[in-house]
Amino acid sequence: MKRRSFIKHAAHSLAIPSFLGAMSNKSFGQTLDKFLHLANETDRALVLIYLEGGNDGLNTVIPMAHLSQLNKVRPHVVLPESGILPVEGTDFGLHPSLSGFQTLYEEGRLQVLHSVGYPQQNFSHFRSTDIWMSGSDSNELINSGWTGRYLEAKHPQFPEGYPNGENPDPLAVEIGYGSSMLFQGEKAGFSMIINNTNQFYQLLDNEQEETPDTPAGDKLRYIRLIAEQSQKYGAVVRSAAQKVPQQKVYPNTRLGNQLRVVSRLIAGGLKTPLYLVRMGGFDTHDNQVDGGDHTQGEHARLLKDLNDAVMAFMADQEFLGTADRVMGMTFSEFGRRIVSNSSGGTDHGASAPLFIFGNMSYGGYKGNAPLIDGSEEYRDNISMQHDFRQVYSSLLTQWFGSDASVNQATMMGTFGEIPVVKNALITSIEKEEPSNLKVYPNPIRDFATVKFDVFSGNIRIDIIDSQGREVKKIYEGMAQNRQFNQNFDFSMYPPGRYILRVMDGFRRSTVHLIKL
Amino acid sequence: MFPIRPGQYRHLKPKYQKVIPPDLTSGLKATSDPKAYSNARLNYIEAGLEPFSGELTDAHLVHFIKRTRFGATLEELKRLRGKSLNFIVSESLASFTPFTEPVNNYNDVSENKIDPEVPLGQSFVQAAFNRDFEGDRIVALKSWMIGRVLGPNSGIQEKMVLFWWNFLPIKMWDVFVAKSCYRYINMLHRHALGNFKELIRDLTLDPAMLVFLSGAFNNKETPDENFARELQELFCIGKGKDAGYKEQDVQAAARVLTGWTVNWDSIHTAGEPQSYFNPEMHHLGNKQFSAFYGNKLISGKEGEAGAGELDEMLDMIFATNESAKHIARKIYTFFVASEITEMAEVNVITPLANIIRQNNYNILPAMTALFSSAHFFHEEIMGALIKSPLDFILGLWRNFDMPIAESAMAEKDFYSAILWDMSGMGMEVGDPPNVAGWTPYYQAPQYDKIWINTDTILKRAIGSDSMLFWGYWISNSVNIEADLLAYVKGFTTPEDPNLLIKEFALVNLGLELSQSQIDQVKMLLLNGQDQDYYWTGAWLTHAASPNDQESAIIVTNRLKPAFQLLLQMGEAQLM
Repeated sequence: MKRRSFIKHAAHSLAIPSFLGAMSNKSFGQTLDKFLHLANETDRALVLIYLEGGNDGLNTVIPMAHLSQLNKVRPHVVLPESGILPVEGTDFGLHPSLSGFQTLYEEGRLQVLHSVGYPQQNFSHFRSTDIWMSGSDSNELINSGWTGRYLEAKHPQFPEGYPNGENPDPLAVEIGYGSSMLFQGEKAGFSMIINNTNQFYQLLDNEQEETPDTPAGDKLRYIRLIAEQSQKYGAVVRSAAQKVPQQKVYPNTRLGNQLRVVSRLIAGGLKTPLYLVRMGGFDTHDNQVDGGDHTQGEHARLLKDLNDAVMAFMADQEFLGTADRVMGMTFSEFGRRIVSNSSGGTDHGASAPLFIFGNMSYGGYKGNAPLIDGSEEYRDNISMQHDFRQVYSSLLTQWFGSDASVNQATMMGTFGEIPVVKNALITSIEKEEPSNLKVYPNPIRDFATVKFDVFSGNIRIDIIDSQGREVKKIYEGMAQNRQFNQNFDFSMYPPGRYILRVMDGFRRSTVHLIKL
Repeated sequence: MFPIRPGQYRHLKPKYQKVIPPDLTSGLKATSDPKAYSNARLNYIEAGLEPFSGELTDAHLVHFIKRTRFGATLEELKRLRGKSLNFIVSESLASFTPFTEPVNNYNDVSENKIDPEVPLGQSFVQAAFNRDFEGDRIVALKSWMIGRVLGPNSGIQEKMVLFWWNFLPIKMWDVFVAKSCYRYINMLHRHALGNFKELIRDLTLDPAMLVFLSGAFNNKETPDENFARELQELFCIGKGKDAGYKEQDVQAAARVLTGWTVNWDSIHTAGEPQSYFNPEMHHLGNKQFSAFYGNKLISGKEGEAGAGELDEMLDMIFATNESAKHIARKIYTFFVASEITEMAEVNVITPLANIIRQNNYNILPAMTALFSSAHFFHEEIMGALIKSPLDFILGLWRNFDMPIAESAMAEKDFYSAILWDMSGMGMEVGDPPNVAGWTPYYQAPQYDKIWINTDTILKRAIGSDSMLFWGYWISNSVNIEADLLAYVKGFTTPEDPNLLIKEFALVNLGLELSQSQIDQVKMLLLNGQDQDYYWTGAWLTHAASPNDQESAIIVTNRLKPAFQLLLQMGEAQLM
């Protein structure tokens, strides 16, 4: 990997059409030095790890209660019970490669969110990636990313006048190929892009890449040199990285190398709140596992890379003293099918588990391991328990302290929150209390059963629409049993997203409904 | 009626000039060794003016297009495929199309700005001078020139006009008479691939040039040597090692030229600008030239006969060996390579000058020979020029088939945004920084590298990003984006991500990409997947139902960052 593109998108993040007088680089160069100060210790960062290709959720977080059913419907890839890492006090286990994640979970530093997805799953990598990056509905075509809109709401003038004393650093950093949709706002791109980790070290060392020994090569060398110098954020990034002389050992993998860079930048004082790193290869249509030993094979290697890189990242941050202000999240454009292929793989699926990790992670799990009854057919998919936008929205509020208006602009709607950060003040209307509230089936076609453990007995159940308006009170009265269990007719509601809210004395619990 | 001196209205310029071109030379470091930056590898190119005999590949064809036009389009490439080099060169050099005159598209009722001489939508190239409207007319004229490059009849003549302008320049803001500037453009266009000697004669009498280099004010009482000096130093003889003209020759030439001046009535009233010979202002003495000109003596002549001294002098100048070599060098450094090596001097410049001389300064045979030569198509010549701002911006505009102004009325608003953007990159159409032209075309030792500095490279990237992502800013209500779907449909095999990337690079980048560069771009088209069929599937899905929004957007969302990455590669600055 000896060539590189230039500018690394400082320009792209600058790209607002205008008469360009305001962006003179000369004045920028003169004032740059004074921006190079240490970040506030409380600056928080969120690292998004994109697992490209669609990670097989059922072989990552395994529903232990349904192993025999899994054996029936996905015999070509199912993991042997003996190999699965148990997670105490839960109904799931982890892939044998995820021993580090198991430890993190036990330490309360990793949270498992079951069955995260969106209604009306799209099975195209491209389209589903766009949906995850943009935070749109499945049938909504949006060309900006959710973090891009978040940054745009916080920095409406960007890039005019940036960087500045208050915001000396890139607002987002992404490592990989080119600009993803994630950091595109409505009218500007927000990320500084480091195309690969080699490029980062070249930036640090002021290295020049090889060019052909021709007249054109001579010009190219010159252009690249100037491009390097024009990199708006090059100096701050270099300066941050140079403050970190030593790091813990990372595995020499694509993800390991990327996280190593991210950790270094955070510890070096970069105030950048958002990072995107990537790891490919999850599109395991065939040979996902070794035929002889399902705990080995391609998927096992991928998860081991993920596990080892994240563990190194966590250890490094402890060492560098930044662990309390960094959170990580994995995501993938979809999970994979329940039913496996005879070629030893799985096809594109729907909802899948998602990990949130960090010292400040809320820990534990949300939702239930998916129910597999053994009668699933090829077309069946794991239904959604958490809308992915609940996760985004929760991270914005609880981790970045984002207020309702910014959240609204970012998410283009209101999604219920789930606790993802320790001791976070959850400000949204639904203060969650564990009550084992379940509604099934969900998504709902006509009828659904509402079931929960009764606490006080004084029950009221409301349907709330996605705007937060109460649509209908569907139940009010005293519960007769320890468990509430009743079937309701939902056929009169127009298709869409709803929240079902149960008030049981002073306790409140909610569940998101999808009406088809 | 009153004369207009060069730069007389310079104080009005800030009212119209939205972006002042940066001084590209301000950051240049002087080097003690002028050879330090020069490109030693050029010395090894032995190929000369002999005809190119290799296989004519797409790379050769786009090289020819890029050097003779602004950028290359896939359409132009397709038209040239399968044709012989002879045919291609002779056809391209013959393709001259007339243009329509620029019109009053600058009236602005909201600002009470209504040109009293020119009705809205009518040509202003004969309008009487009006100091309150010349600035608007000049901006309209500059925008009109951009329109010629982007328009459907664009061809080599637009590149030739830029070549001549850079070589024999006026500065429109110094001349400040729009109709004189237009007449100058028309003259360059008329002689674009014609006779250099005739061009120089017309240039000498050109009302715009007579103002710009103050020839109009050169007379027996107040001699002005400005034009006489540049005529030799910059236009006809140059500063080559054998250029032996003396100060005496500058003075003698200035005297020969006395009496030629602008008919100021023609400027201040409607009609075409005129110049004429005024015998009363002509220096009647003998003009003695130096040994460089064979000690030529031009005897002073009275009355109208004095005008004939000019032709005597031009014959004298063009009889030297240096004139043909000088124009050969100018052609070479503009169209072929920024520097002339000793080898190129022998193998290209000398034979090229011979052709020019043999054809009595008709340059068409020389241009034909050059564009057909082994030297022009040498692999180390191709891709080794840094694009000028016009090559970069207008080239991308043409390549992406971006929308153009719908009518002459819309041209000023539409193209002036592009005009000022390119100005910010160091190249204002119609106003080179000085009489030697735009610095990157002549300033040793950096030459075309001068185009690129930390400021201009960002502006270039913003330009290409705007076309791809945000829309190119035309006005507060108009942003223009490339229609990437229509664009990619014109590719040979858009469904193959490898060929798609290569074809894009072929027309927009100066060098072939390495496999790792292609792989990196491909990752964007494939969404990080390994299999090409993900792109193929997405493209074919879109192609099968082009009206389906979702499949269209899936494809667009991958093309944008992929093309962005390609255009931010250093190779995109080369041609």
